[in-house]
Amino acid sequence: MIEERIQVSLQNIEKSFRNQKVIDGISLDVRQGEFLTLLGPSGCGKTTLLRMINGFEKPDSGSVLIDGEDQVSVPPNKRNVNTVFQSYALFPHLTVRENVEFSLKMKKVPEEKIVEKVNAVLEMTNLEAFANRKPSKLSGGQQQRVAIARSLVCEPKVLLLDEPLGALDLKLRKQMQMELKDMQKASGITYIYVTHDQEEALTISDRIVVLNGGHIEQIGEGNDIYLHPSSRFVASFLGESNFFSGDTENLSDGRVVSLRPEFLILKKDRPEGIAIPARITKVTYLGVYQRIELVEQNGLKAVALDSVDSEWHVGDNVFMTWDPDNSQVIQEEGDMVS
Amino acid sequence: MIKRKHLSTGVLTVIGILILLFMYIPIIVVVLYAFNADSVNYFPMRGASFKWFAKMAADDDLIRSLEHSLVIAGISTGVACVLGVTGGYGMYRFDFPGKSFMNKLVMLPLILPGILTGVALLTFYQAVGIHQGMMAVILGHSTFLIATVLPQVYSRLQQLDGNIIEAAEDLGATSSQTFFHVVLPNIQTAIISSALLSFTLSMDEIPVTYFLNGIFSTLPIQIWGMTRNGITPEVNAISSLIFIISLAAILISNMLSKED
Amino acid sequence: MSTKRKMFHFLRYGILAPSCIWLIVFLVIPYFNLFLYSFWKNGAFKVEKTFTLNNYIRFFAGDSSGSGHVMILLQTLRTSLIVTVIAIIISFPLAYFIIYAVKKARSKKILYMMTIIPLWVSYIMRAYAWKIILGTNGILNSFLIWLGVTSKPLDIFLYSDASVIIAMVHIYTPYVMMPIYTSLEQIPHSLIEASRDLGCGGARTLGKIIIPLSLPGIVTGATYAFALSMGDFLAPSLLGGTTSSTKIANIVQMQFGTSDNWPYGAAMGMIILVFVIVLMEITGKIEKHYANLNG
Repeated sequence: MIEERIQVSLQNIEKSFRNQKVIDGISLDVRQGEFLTLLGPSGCGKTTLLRMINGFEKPDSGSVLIDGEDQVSVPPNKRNVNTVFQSYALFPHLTVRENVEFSLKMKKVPEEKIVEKVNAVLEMTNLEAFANRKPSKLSGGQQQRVAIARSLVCEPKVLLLDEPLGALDLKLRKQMQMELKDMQKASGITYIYVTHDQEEALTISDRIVVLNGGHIEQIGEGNDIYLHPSSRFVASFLGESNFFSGDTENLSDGRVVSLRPEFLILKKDRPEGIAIPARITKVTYLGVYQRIELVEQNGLKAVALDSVDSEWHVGDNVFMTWDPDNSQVIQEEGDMVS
Repeated sequence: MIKRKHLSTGVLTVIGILILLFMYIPIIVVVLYAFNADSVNYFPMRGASFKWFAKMAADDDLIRSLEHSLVIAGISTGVACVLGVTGGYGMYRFDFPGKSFMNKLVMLPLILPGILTGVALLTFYQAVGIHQGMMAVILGHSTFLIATVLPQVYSRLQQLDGNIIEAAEDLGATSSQTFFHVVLPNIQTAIISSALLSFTLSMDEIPVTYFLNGIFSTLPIQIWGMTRNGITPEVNAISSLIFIISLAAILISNMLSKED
Repeated sequence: MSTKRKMFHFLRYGILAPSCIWLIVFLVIPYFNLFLYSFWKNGAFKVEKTFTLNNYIRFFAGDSSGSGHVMILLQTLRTSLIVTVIAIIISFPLAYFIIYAVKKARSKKILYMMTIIPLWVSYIMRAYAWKIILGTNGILNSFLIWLGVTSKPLDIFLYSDASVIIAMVHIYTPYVMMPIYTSLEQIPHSLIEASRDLGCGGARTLGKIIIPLSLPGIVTGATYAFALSMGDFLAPSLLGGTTSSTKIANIVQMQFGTSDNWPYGAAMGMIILVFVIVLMEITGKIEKHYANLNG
C-alpha cells in the first residue's frame, strides 16, 4: 500500500565531481511503499542520487533523510537501505545460500533465525533449487533473483535498484519487470529504481522522476507525464513527440505545442481550424499501425501514427490537424534537447 | 606450396628443440652428475652413487646455511605478503596523489640490478646502525619481495567485480568484515602463488644478501663459496634437491592460477 | 564516475600505511642515502662528509687514486647488448615455434611451461652448471676427448668473456621469452590469415605483421635482460677471466669490499642506476608508442 508518509526525503542536494556539477539542487520526497523510478539519459545524475541514498556518495550540500533522520554521517553498512547493483555483485566464492546469509551472518543474527529467514526469502524468489550452486553456475535471470533475495533478507526500509535488468535480454527483461513489480507489491517495501529505459519506467513504476543534467524535469505518474510533459526534454525523452510553434494554437512567444504522433490527424482536404500543410516522406508499417513521416513547407518534420486501413503514400500532400485537448502547451527552454 | 610450408614448420621444430636443449642440458647435467660415483664431472659418467647426497647431509655448514635460508625466506615472504596485500588493497580502494609513482616504485627492486639495492641498503644500515646479519637480510629480502606480491594482488583485485566490496558494505559488513569475508577469499590464490614465488626468489637470492649477510651464510651464498673454491658434486646434490622443490612449487602455483 | 569510493577520511588510508612507510624507509631513503654517499669523500679510515664531485670525475677521467672505469662500463654495456640480442634471437623463434608450429593446446601449454621453468631454477645452479660443462676437466672437454676430436682438454671454454655471455644468455633468456610469448599470443590469428589472404608470403607476414605487433614484448624482455645482465657480478666472478671479463658490477662490489671506497662505489652505483632508469623510460615510451599503434 502506498501511504502518504514520506520515507526518503532528499533536500537541496548538490554534488560536483572535479568541478563538474552532477546534481544541481534536487529535492525529492519518496512515499512509503511506492515504486519510484529515476529516469534519465546517462550522465543525468540518477545513479549518483541513488548512491547518496545508500551512502556511497556524500552530497556537497543538502541532506538525505530516511524516516525523518539525517543520514549524511551514517556509513553505508549502518543504513537500513539495500541495493541491487547493476552487475549484481554476487560474491563469487559463496553459494546462493551463503550469499543470502551474508548480511545476517555479518550482523551476528542467531543461527536458527538465519535459516528461517533465508529459507523464506529463497522460497519467495524461487531459488530453493539452486541454493547450493555458485553464482557462476546460474543464468542471468537467476543471478538477478539472488541479488534481490540477498537484499530482501535484510528487510530494508528501502530497496534501491540500479538498472538491475540492464544485462538481460529483452524477453527476460519483460518477465522480470513483472516479477519485480509483484515482489514489490507483496513486500510493501519502498523501491527506488534507476533506469534509462522509458518503456521500462512506464511499465513498472508508481511514479516517475525524469532527470536531466542534474535536475528534476518532472515528477508524476507515468500516464500523466506521457500525456502532459512539462518540457520539450520530457516530451521527447518519453516516447516520440511533434513540436509545433507559431500561431497554430494562438500561442504567446516562446511556447510550443507538444503532440504525440498518435494524436496527429492527417486529412486530404483542408479541415476547419488547425491545418498545417505537409508532404509525406516515408511510410512504415508496424503491424496494426503505420508510421507516417512528414515534412512541412518550412522544412520542419513531423510523425503521425495511423491505422493501416488508411491509404497514405509517399509524396501525398496532406493537412495535419489535431484536437487541442490532446496537445500540451509547453514553455520552450534554453536546455531543450534537439 | 604445401611442401614449402611443411619444410618451414620442420625447420622451426628443429630450431625450437635445439633451443629447448640449450636451456635444459645444463640443468640435466647438474642433476645427473649429482649421482656421479666420481668426483670429476667426466663424460661418460663412470658409475652412479648417492654418496654426494650423503656428504651433503653431513656438511654442517651447508645444513646450517639451508636453515638460515629457510628462516629468512619464511619471514621475508610473510612480511612481503602482509605489506603487499594491504598495499595492493589500499591502492585498489583509494585514489591518491603519487599512486602511479608508488606503482613504479614497488617494482624497482625487482627490475633494478640487485647489487644496487644491496649497496643502497648497506650504506643505509651503516648510517642508522643496523648490523649485518640475519635481520639485515630479512629486511632487504622483504623489500624486494613486495614487488612480487603487491602487483599480483592489485591486478587480481582489478579483475574482480568492484561492486562486491560495495555490496558487502551495503549488506551491513564493516570494513574489516568486508576485507576478511569478501576480499581475502577472492584473492587468496593470487596471494598463495605470489608467496610461493617470493619464497623461491628469497631462497635463491645472492646480490642483495651478499652485501648484508656479514659473517653469516645463506644457502646460495654457501654454494657460491663452494663453487668458487672448485667443483664438488655436493653442489650438484643440493642444487638438484632445490630444483625438485622449486618444480613442485611452480606446479602448485600453476594449478592455483588455473583455478580462476 | 569511478566505482571506487573517494574517502578523504585520513584513517581510511591506514591500510596503505605499512607498505608506504616500508617502501620509504627501506627503498627511498637507502637510495637517497646512496646518492648522498656518492658526493662524499673517502678519508683514510672513514668517510668524510664533505661535498665533492671527485668520485664522478674519477669515474670518467681517472685521478691520482686510480684510473677511471668508463672503459669497463662500455665493455659491460657491450656484453649486455650481446647477451640481450642473443636472448632475443633465441626467444623469438622458440615462442614462434610454440605458438604457430605446435597445434595441440596441451603440448603448447607444456612447452610454454618448459620455457619458464628455468626462471624458477636457482641462479647459482645455472651458473654452476656452465662451470662444470665448460671447465677444463668439464663435460664438454671430456665429451670432445671421448669423441676423439681432441686428445687433451682445451682450456679455452671457461674463464673467458664467451663463457660469461653463454651463461648470461642461459640465465636471462626466460625473461625475454615470457613477454615475447605473451605478445605473440595476443596477435589475432585472423590478422595473419588476412595477410596471407592478401598475398603476403610467410616471410612478409612475419616482417610486416608479426614482428611489428610483437615489438612491445620484445622491448620489455630486452629491457629486463639488459638491465639485469648489466648489474650481474656473479656470473663474471664465477665464469669470467681474471681481468678481461670484469664487469662494472664487479668494480662496484670491490669498492664495498677489498678496495673499501664506499663513496666511489656509491657514485658508480648511481651511474648504473641513472643508466637503467633512462633505459627503462625510453623503452617504456617505445612500448607505449607501439601499444597505441597496435591497439
